[in-house]
Order: sequence, then C-alpha cells, then structure tokens
Amino acid sequence: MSRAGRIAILIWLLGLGVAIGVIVRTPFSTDMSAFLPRSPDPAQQVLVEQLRSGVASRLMLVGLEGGSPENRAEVSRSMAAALRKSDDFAAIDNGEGGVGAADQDYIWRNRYLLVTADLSQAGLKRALDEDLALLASGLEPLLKDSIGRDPTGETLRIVRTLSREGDRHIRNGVWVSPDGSHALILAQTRAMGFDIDAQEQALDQIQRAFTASVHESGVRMQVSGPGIFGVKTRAGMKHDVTLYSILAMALIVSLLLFVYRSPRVLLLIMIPVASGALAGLAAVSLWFGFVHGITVGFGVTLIGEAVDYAIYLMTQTSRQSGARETLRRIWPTLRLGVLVSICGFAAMLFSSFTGFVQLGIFTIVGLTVAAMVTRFVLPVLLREDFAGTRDAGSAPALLAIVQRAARLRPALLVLLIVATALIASRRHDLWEDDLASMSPVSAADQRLDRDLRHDMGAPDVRQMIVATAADDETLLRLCERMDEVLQPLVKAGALSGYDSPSRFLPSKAMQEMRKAALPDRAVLERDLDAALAGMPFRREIFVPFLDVVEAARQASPLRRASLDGTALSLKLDSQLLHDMGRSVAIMPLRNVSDPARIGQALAGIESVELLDLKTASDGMLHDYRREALLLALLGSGVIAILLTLYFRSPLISLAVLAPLAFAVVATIAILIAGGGRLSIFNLFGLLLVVAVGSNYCLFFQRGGLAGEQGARTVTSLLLANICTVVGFGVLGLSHIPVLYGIGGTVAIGTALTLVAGAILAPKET
Amino acid sequence: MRSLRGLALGLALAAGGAAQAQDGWSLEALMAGMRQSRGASAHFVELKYVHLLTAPIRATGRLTYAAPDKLEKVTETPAPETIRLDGGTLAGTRANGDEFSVDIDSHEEIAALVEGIRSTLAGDLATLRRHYEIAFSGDRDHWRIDLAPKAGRVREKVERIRVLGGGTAIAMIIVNETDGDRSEMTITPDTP
Repeated sequence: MSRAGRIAILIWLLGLGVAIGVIVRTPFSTDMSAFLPRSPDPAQQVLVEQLRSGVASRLMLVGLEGGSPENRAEVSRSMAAALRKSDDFAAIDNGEGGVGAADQDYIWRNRYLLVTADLSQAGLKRALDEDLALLASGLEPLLKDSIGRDPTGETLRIVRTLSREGDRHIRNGVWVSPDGSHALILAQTRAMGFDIDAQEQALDQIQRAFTASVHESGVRMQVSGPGIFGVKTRAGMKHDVTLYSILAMALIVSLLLFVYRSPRVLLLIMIPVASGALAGLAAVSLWFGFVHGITVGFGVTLIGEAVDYAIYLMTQTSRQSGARETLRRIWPTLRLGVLVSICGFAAMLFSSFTGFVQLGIFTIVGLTVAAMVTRFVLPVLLREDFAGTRDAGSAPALLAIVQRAARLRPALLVLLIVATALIASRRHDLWEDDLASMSPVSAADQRLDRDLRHDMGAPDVRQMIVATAADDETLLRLCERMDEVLQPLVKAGALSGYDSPSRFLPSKAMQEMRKAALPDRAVLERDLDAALAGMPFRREIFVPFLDVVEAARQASPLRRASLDGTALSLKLDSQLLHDMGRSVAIMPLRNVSDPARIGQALAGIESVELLDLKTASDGMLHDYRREALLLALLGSGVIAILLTLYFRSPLISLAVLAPLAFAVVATIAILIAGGGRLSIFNLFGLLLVVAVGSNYCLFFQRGGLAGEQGARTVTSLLLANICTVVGFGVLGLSHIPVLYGIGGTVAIGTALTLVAGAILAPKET
Repeated sequence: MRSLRGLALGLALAAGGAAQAQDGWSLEALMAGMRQSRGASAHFVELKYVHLLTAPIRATGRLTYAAPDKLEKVTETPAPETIRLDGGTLAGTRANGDEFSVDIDSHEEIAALVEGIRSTLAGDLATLRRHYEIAFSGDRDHWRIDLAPKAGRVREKVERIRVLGGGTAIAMIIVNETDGDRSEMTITPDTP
C-alpha cells in the first residue's frame, strides 16, 4: 500500500468516525410540515403556523357509532370522564356541562369589563321588566339566583356568546351529529399538532378510554384530526421507507451479486454509497440540527446514483487495464458527472421546503464523498489484478445494440413530437394545485375527517380574519373595531358568527372606557330606585349589585395573566399569537356564505386580511410549483453552462443535453397520459432525472464506445441505470405522494435517458 | 341553556276523567287509571311566591297533554310564552320572541322535574320511582302524591312537588323550593 493510499484510508476512516459520531446524536423528525414552505409572506407564515401548531392542529375528532343511542351516550360520558383526567388534553368537549366553572367564574367576576352594560335608568327599567317577565315564566329559577347581583343579565349574555350551545344537538345528555347517528367528542391536545410523539400518546389515551368504556355495547369509534394524520403518516412513512429501502437494497444486491458473482466486490461497491450516505446525514444534522425521515428515506437516491460510480469503476476495469488505469481514463468524465449532478441538486438548496433543502445538502455532500471515496479509497482496496467481470459476457452484444441504435433517431423524433403535442394539449390542466393531493393522508381518512368536521360544525377553521399590530393592546383595539364591521354582517347573514380574542380579553382602552362609563354608587342607587318605582321587587336584594358595580369601578384592568387557569386562556393562546415581534390575531369565522361582502367590508381596514385556508394553501402551492419550476430551469441552465464551459463547444454540450431534454419531455407525457397531473414532487423528480441522467449522456459522448472498453462502458451504464430504476421504481409502489411522485418520475426518466442517450450517441469512426 | 332550569316547575296539567273507578284505591290503581287517558286540555292559574318580590306573580294560560309524552304549556298573562315538551326535546318561544330548543336529558334537573308531571299523567310508575321518593295518601276523590327528588342537583333546588287531585284529574300542583319560594298551580280541566 502506497503512502498516499494509507493517508487516503486514514482520512476516510476518520471521516466515517466523525460522521457516525454526529449521526448517533441526531434527532430524527417526521414533522410533515418540513415539506411545507418557509414563507416570507407574514400572512402565509401565519397560515403555516396555524397548520403546524394552531388550535385546529390540536383537535382530535372522535365519532362514536353503532349500538343504541343510550350506549353511545354512555360510552361518550365514560370516555370524556377518563380523558378529562389525562394531562394530555387541554379540553374535552362531549356536550356535557357547557362553559367550564373556571370560565364562568372569570366571566362572572369581570362582566362589567368584558361587555358594555347599559346601567342607565332606562336600561335598568328595561332589564327589570324582563326579569319580572322571566320570574313569571317557567324559566325562572336560574335567573332568580342572579337577579340581585346581575339584574341586566350580562353574565348570561357572555356565556351564551361563548358557548354557542344552541347550535349543537344534544341527545341523551351528550353531543351528537345532526342526524343523531354519531356521538361526538372534540378533544384538544395540549401538545402542538406537529409533535407526533405527543399526538401518538394522546391518541393512545383515546383508544384506551374507548376500550375501557365500550364493554359489549357494539359501539365503534372513529378518530380523526391533524395529529392523527401525523401519527398515521409517520407510521406509513416508516413502513414504506423501511419496506421499500430493504426491497430496493435486496434487488440491487442480488443484481450486483449476479453480475459480479463476488460478495467482496459487492461490499466494495457499497463502500462509496455507505460513506456518502453517512457523510450526507452528518452534514444535514450539523446544518439543521435534525434530520427528516424523508431525507433518510432518500438514502435510496444515493444508492441509485452513487452506486453508479463504483459500478463505472468496477465494470470498466479489466485484468489488463487495472483499476488505476481505468480511473485515469474515466475520472475526468466521472468528475464532470458528479459536478453536473451537484449543479442539479444545488437548485434544491433554494427551495422553500426545508425537506427539499435537506435533500439537496444530503445529496451534494453524499455524492461528493462517494466520488472521492471511489477515486481515492477504492483503488487502494482493490487487488492489483482485479477485473470487474471475468469476461465481457454479453457486453459485446450490448455494444452492438448501441452502435445500431442510431437508426432509431427518426422514431425518437416522432416520439418527441407526440409527447410535446400531448403536453401542449393539456397545458391548461397540467399542474396539480390542490394541497390535498400532496397530503400523505389517504382519501378515505380525509373523507372521514371532513364528515366529522361537518357534524361538529365549525372547527375546521377554513375561513378566518388575520389581523396584525405592533403590540397586543393595538391589536385588541383593532379587533374591537372589527366588531363594528362584523356584527352588521352577522345580522345580514353573510356569516353566522365569529370568534375574537377581545371577547374575553378586551383592550385596556376599552376596559377603561367601560369602567369610566359605570355610574358611581349614588347615581346608580338613584337610577335603580327610579327604575324600581311601581315594580314588586324588594329593593334590598339589589345591594350585591350596587357593591359589584362599585368594585368594578376600582378594578385593575384584566391582563393576559388574569385568564390563567381557565379554558379561555387556551382559546386566547390560539387566537392571539406573537410572530416575529408582532402581535397577530386569528378570528375564525363560522359558516361564511358571502366571503366577497366580508372582504369588501374589511377592505378599508389596514393590517387586516380575510384568509381562506383552502384558497390560500392552494395559492401557496401554486407559488411553490412556480418556484420548483424556476429552480429546475435554473439547475438545467447551470448544467448547460457548465458543460459548455467544460467542452468549450456548445455543440457537444447540446449533444449531451439532447437525450435529457427528450427524457424530460417524454416522462412528463407519460405521467400525464393517464389523465394525471404534475405535482411538485414530479418536478423534483425531473430535476433528479437531469442530475443522474447527465452521467449517462457524458459517458455516451465521451466514453469511446468501441472495442472491449466500449463494451464495458455500455455494460456499466446499463447496470447503473438498472440499479437506479430499481431503487426509485420500488418507491413508486408507495402510496405516499412524495415517495411515489419522485420515485416513479426518476425511474421512468432515467431509463428514457439511457435509451435516448444510446440512440443519440456519436457513431464511432 | 341554564335559564331553562326549573321550567318543569310550571309544567302540569289535568288528565281528563277518562278512566273508570277501580275497586280499592291505591297509587297503583290511580296510575292504571291515568294510563287510560289519551290526552286532555285545561286552563291554569298559577301563583308564584318569590322571595325577591313583595307580591306573588299571577300567571294564566292553557295546558295540553297528548299521551304518552307530549306536553304543552302556553302562558297568556302576564307575558306570552310557549313551552313544549316532546319526547326528549324541550322547545318553545320565550316572552321576548326568542325560539329555543334543548334536550332535557342534558339538564337532569329539568328532566327529573318534567318526568314528575309527565310520568304521573302517563301513569308511568317505574319512571316516577326512579326520580322520586313517593308518598301517597287520601281517597279516590281526594288523593295526594308527594314527590321528593332523589338526584342531588335537583334536591338542592326543589324540596317537594305535591300533586292533588280527584279521580284521574289533577286539580293542583304545589312546588316547594329549598329557598322558601313556592308556586301553586290550580288546574281546571276543559270539559270535552
């Protein structure tokens, strides 16, 4: 072993040690929002934040069906009781109880700060008339208790606005769907929706509570919600990535064993791949502090691409030439190939998706390391008389095919025209802009979720108003101004209602105004006496009322901390956020029937925006897709420039790029031929096609396709491509959009590149 | 809707004299007689003695019962109000015009009270016993049922419901609340 060889081995082993050291300390994440964008637009940021951690992301929807209505109610009550004891849930709502005791207490104590009460003589007279009418009615007893303290009924008014109890159906004491077929429970987890471990634990609690409650009633449970999707997605992702990686690995290993008939060679081929994968993971970990599961899953990417390097070296090495000689010959082409791939993958670094940035770094570092290991470490490990395959085998036949392939050029042109025409005919219907299509959640699960949300009424938070301001006080004042805009719209039927943080935490200005408007004791006593004149009420029962109003005049203003311990506090957390130094209010709207009118009414108000989650997220996807397209074009452009500079000839560069262009067009045509649409994942797949396929084209252009050497080159290309097709092709079997979107595209695209590359290869003279 | 709690205090009505006299008078016999009734209507005058007020409130209106589980109370004075109990749903129109509809099962106080009146009318002794301790006295023409609520939440509000009647007709319902308030509803059956 030469001195240089020893140094290479030493550096390699050291590097591996460091990489493994980093990786064992790396947290692995399955937060799907890594594949949601980091967006600079504040409204979109809020949207993504809502998707990740907002109140909507923390809901678990439980539907109980089967059995008798009484059985379902019994199970619902028993489950709710068990879940309320759990620390995993902030709130359990199965229709029992209504607004909680702590909340009622907060409202009761602070009513004169929370709403503007009319305590004028006329207002009191009107309220007392109503109280008297209520005492006469069958509805008397509740009010009877509070008349002396709250004759104008402010507490009841607030509780009614908050509880919306009238909107829902209660049967046998629990919340049921409008048709009565399901008992419903809405559970709000304490943990954020993207905290999949916590969500899994919460789901487990729900399942255990159900098992403990169901007995033999025949009641069945359905659960849905973003957290559940996360849990299911992680499980599915884990399953698919494990299964298909093992499958791909097994197929590639068998293939390589079959070709080389040597476990030792197989091991050697895996060395650059494994080194590259470890280095890539370590690099991502160092850069981001965590590694996404999908990034790991795309280790398969590296197997497909980096196995190629070793394959080129091994297959093209004959006993006569020796590994070093082969390396001297193929290294310039290989180096160029790696550079081209890196240029392609580098485009991903500019993506708004954290997940794709990770993939970009992973691939770039991985490929670089794999190429370096192939160049400097593998030759040291190979015996002097190593030959990739004992004889050239079927290689001459393959070479003959390639040499005759040029005859197919007219056919290629025809195919290109057909594919282009197909794409042109579908140009208005080419792109998938529905976010749901990217969701790893199955259509059945999405339908269940939609049904449950429909039954439960509001909480899908599709439409909301987002308001931003410099601080909480300004923001709350803005929300109070919105009341003036929205309340007439509710009356007009443009929407059925809305939530606002100022309902339970009014701005200081508003609180001061309300306090200032409260009459002093003497005035209030005088007006009350006047209002009571001629009525049968005993005057002394109103002393508590006089005391409460007097106390409210002295009360210190409510702050956020005043809500501690109430369920309203959690509600406030979800509606009043802080983002990048600004305060943001989320006001969910219910049953919007006329969004245009609401938009119009809001148009004049600054820093306020009507947000439709569905439209906004679809629009966001549209932006991304444009970004991905731009990045793909950018990557291709850089590759073209690199090739032109390298060859100092636009013609040669064009000849290298032509098969790639054909492959991309034909792949798109195949993907949309069945009526499908292109997703953002297909686009990234095409980027990979260009990055991987460019290597084939370089070898076809520069490989010198003649004699035994030529035969070995062709064999190595075919073998490399089969590995890529297998590696990515099996991902195409997955049902997770990101896996099959990229897997299928790369498998089809690289195979087409190889064929087109062979057809367009220059004829040997 | 908590404001509806105790609605049943006022819900009651006469079952018309459809049943025949039985040999020997007992609670069971009275209930069996009640079960013969298909429905009836009556006028009521209700006097409420509320400690908040210096004078009792007088309310008048009409009651309608249809076997086995429909009960309607229409108050005419002093303020118009309709309350309907149909199966498990309590609905109606309040004096200020607001419509309401709630499930009585989610309000056990209302449920227990309403069952007191409705089960008596329907002759459903089993349900009555589930909600109340029952004391029965008197003879066929002048009987008295005292119902003491069993459930804790109801007991906190209501001390006793006393139903007075003769034959299978209810003549008066007196509800005593724990705070000393009292309501007396005098019922005059419409003659068919």
